[in-house]
Amino acid sequence: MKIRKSGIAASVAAIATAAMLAVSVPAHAANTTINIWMDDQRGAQLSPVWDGSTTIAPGYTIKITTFSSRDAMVSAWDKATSASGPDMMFDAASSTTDAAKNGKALPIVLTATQKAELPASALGALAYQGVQYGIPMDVDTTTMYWNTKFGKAPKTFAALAATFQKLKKAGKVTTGICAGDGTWGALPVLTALGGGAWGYKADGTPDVSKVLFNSPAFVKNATNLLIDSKTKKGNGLFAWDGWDGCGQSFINGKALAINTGSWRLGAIIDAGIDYTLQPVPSIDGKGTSHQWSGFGGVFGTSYAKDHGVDLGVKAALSYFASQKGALAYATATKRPPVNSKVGSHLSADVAGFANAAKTGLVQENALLGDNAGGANWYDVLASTFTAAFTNGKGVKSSFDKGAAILKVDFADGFSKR
Amino acid sequence: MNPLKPSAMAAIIKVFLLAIASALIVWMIYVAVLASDWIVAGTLSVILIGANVVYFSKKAVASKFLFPGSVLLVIFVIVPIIYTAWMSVYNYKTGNEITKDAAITQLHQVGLVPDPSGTSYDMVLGHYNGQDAVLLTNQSTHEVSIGLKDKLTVLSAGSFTTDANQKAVTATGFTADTPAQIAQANTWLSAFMVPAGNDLYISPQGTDVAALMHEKFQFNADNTKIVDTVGGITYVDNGNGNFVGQKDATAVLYPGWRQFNPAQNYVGLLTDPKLNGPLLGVFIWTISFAFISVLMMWALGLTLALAMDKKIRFRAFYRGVLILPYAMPSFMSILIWAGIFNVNYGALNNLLGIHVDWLNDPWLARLVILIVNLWLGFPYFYLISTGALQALPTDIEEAAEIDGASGSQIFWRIKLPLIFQILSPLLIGSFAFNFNNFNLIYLLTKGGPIDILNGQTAGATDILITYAYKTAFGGNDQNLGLACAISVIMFVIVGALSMWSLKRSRVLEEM
Amino acid sequence: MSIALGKKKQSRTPSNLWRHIFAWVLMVFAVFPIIVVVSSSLSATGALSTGSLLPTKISFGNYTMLFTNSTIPFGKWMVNTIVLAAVNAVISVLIGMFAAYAFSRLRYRGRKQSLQALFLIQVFPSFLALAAIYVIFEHLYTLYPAIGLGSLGGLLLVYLGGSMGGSAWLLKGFLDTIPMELDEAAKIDGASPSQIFWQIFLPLTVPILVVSTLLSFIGTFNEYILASLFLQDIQTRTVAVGLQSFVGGTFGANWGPFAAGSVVAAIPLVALFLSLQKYIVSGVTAGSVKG
Repeated sequence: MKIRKSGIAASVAAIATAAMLAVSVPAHAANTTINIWMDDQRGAQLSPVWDGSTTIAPGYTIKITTFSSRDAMVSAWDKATSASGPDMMFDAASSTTDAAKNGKALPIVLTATQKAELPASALGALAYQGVQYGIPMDVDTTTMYWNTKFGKAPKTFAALAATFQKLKKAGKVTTGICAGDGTWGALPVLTALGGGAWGYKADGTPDVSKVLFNSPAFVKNATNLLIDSKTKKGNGLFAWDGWDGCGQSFINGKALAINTGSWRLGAIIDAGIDYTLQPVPSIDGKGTSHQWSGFGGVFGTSYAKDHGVDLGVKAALSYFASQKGALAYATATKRPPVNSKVGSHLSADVAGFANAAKTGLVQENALLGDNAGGANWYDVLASTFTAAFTNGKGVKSSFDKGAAILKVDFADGFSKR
Repeated sequence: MNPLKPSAMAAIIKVFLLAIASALIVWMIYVAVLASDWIVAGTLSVILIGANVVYFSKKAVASKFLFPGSVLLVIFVIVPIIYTAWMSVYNYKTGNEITKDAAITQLHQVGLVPDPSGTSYDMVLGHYNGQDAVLLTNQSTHEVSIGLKDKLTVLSAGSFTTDANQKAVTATGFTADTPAQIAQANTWLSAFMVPAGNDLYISPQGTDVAALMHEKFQFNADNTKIVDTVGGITYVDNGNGNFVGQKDATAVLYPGWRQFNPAQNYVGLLTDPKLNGPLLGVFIWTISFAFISVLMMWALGLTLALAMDKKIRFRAFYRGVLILPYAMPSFMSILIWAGIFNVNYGALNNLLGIHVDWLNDPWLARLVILIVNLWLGFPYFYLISTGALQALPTDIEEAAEIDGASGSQIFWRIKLPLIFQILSPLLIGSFAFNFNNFNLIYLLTKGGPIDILNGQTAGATDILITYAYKTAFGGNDQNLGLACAISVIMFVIVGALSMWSLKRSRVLEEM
Repeated sequence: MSIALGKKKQSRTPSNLWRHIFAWVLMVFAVFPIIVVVSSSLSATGALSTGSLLPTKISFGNYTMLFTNSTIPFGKWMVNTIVLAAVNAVISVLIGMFAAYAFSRLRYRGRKQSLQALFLIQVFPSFLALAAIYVIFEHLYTLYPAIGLGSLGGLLLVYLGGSMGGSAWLLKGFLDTIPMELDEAAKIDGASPSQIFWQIFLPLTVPILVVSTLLSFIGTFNEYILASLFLQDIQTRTVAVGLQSFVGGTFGANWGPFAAGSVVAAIPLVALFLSLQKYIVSGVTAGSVKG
């Protein structure tokens, strides 16, 4: 009996298929789940508080998806489409403005209460071309940790420099003040010595015709205090190679101070360093230094409309903007909150950083990230510091060259703001 | 050798496996058809028919061996390549990512702005005369009205009741929704806009609050012009993915959309001085880096394979330790090497008591790159060289010894060419891999050192792919279309180089 | 005879010395960063100890955290990774072997062109490969969740997609050294191509199959770019993705647990490598050709 092999195969296939079809085909239900994406830190902190909640947006259930790292979340967000995209996302403010520019964010309307409780600069960081998209939830800013082993924190930068020289001669320290987050965290030292990025107009918007990077006051102070007169190179008072570089010096007690944020609190405490928190002192103690203040927040996506939950998303955003939501967020994440009514319930350290936000300058990513002049703020700083302090090419000439590039960057970035 | 009889068992296994696979694919097609997903259904049908034809036909022997691998290759490797090439002819960057329809829908949303008066309403959802309706209470004037899809009716006092906060909760003719109905409200409420005259609309902002919105954008019939009634600007479609000001083209409306524009990326690549200038230098370094790396790694790996070829004491211990570089996640290892070479805090300078700035000198940085790549790659070459050594027929060695050849002659004249012949596709493949070795360069030196202050645009250790990445993604905007165009051009270059070296090594001829 | 053997033995010992010296020098080179990994895993401060090789404060906290912290299911990640890597290694080497056999033994029309095409495909630098794969799997997720985004099955499919290009070349090179007389002898005996493949060639190529499997296994273990895109739910992650959360954050990295995880993950790899050593030995091929 010649049985064709294909005949056998066909009959087996038919039986197996029938068995599978009998099982079931996924059915579709009406959607009342709001899908929120968070990175590994916020996800771990906020899931216990908010995941599964049905009270944040009445009639809807909150589902939090935690990614293994922020990079993974951003990577998935870049590629997501309506099929797999989230309804809301918690991330740095730049995510909101980029999403708005790409047409993937949900416009919202702020109530009078929200406008009263949330500072205009914070709200502005999550708006684009005049339309509001996100709610700011936390402030990312830095301040100076001073190692009290070396005495009380100095009130002027000149005093800090003098302390450094004395201790360096005695072999006790190798670094004065460390910019613990690389060139992003170098602004306080620049402003303390009379420099900075750009000037400001009376209404608080950036004035890109004034570039403070190579101001004469800064050049004079930097040459006096940061340069070793014999070698013409940097004397170690200022280091900018970040946590894995001079940050390790601070951890090992070989640096006077480090300028970084609340994200290093745990590591510094674990290393047994006693510290106080204060801004980097200005050159003469009058006025104050400034650091970049970035914001983190939450926004709704355009996919929420496709998924039929956009009204729930708006209700959720209302909750997050409220005092109750802001307090829950700040307590769980220990990040300084933006809502001005929530301050009194925070721990001392977190409050210290919330205070630091008062001297913060809005981190205008459009200007800092622009590279029409050949490189962006962060790379220009790295090159300038290397030329002036590592290679001893002269503070004035290096900073002048850097300022020329930055001027083009700022002007171009401002026009695209 | 015993004569081999065709096995009935093998035939039964083959039929059974194919039947199960076919059943699975048929089920998947069914699910796809139910969801009206014709692309997936079509692709699966092609696979199903192909599999059955290939495995049941008497001829086409080669296809039987190549079928599974090819199917997977086409779907997961070739389709992305086609997608990349397709995207390279689009103006596709931050702000120009979505489709035109989605952009216009979004622009309608963007054009709906809160009225300057900031008027907002408390809202109760329900039905009025059988239609979906909302009961609105103005939060400042406490005026109550019923909003329908096309009409706004102010209610006179007495036809409604309020709660303690003066918010209307019931009205004649109005039935409030139950919580269950509110949960389903999104479907009708999301696009519900109550006209309030003069381009003003009352738009829900949740399930219990609404705001007075002003529609400031006026679209013309075929969506080629937008008039901003508040700012007084007219925007026109600029043909390249955005609406821009008619009088002032620097006023750009976002979001834009992906626009087909083959010239922009390719011509831009060829004419932009920032891209052209340093290109030759970067290209020369890329080729040198890839070639020297492969040569060094192979030499070291092969020498190690020869050294471990004899059963010496501790051989297992040596092998275990020497495979460790390959067993560690490479991105951690690279960052560790970067730390070791750090001028101030690195272990190397500390141990040797020197103060060499490894990563800031162009030539030292290149040396560091080669050393780290050697560390990463030699275990792989050790493994494949070991495999190649096993493939060498031993009778050749004996024949040559009889002919009086010395040990070194046997190695260099006989063994090495044979090993090269076996491994040359892999050597060329490794060359191609290192040509595009983004991770190593980016994590170790970021392409530096680069003298930005004196106008340098490419770093001393930048290879083509890192330079391309920085160009496409360096600023605030991600230019994905440009990145794809660079991919295509690099593919042409590397492909031509690889094909040429394949021909030169005459590997394909021997086949 | 024994005198000759004895003489041979004596003259062998000095020539083995170079093997030992070479191995030790290379081991110092190889192990240098590994010491940093181990000492970082033992550090309490969570930084990469690239300054001094030995840690200043030793603590096993990172290791205990991996196994006792309830939010880090490290054991589950190891199981996921080992299963994924093993399944991928076996299937992808099989696919590669099928392809290599076809390329090497079966003179079919268009063989040279398909080889060239396969080679070229491996060379394409695809910036958008991830985006395309993401779109495909989004699609698949809505239809077949078991192999869509977020599933280990889907990730396995993507790895298998690249498998033909990966191992086929190595195996083909090896197969080319086996003389065609073997095929002819088997055909005369009446064997079908599939029987020649399964019963003659597969046993002959055991050393190179083992090398291929090992390379594929280690490669899957450490792959994190594709995996981090796919695997979101904390229970389905692989080790490489799971440990990412320590170093992929916005602000700085916690290298201690990452290094500890890498050390633990390297143990099965090294163990596998050592246990497979006896299959990568010479002499297996020589005999069967004559026979």
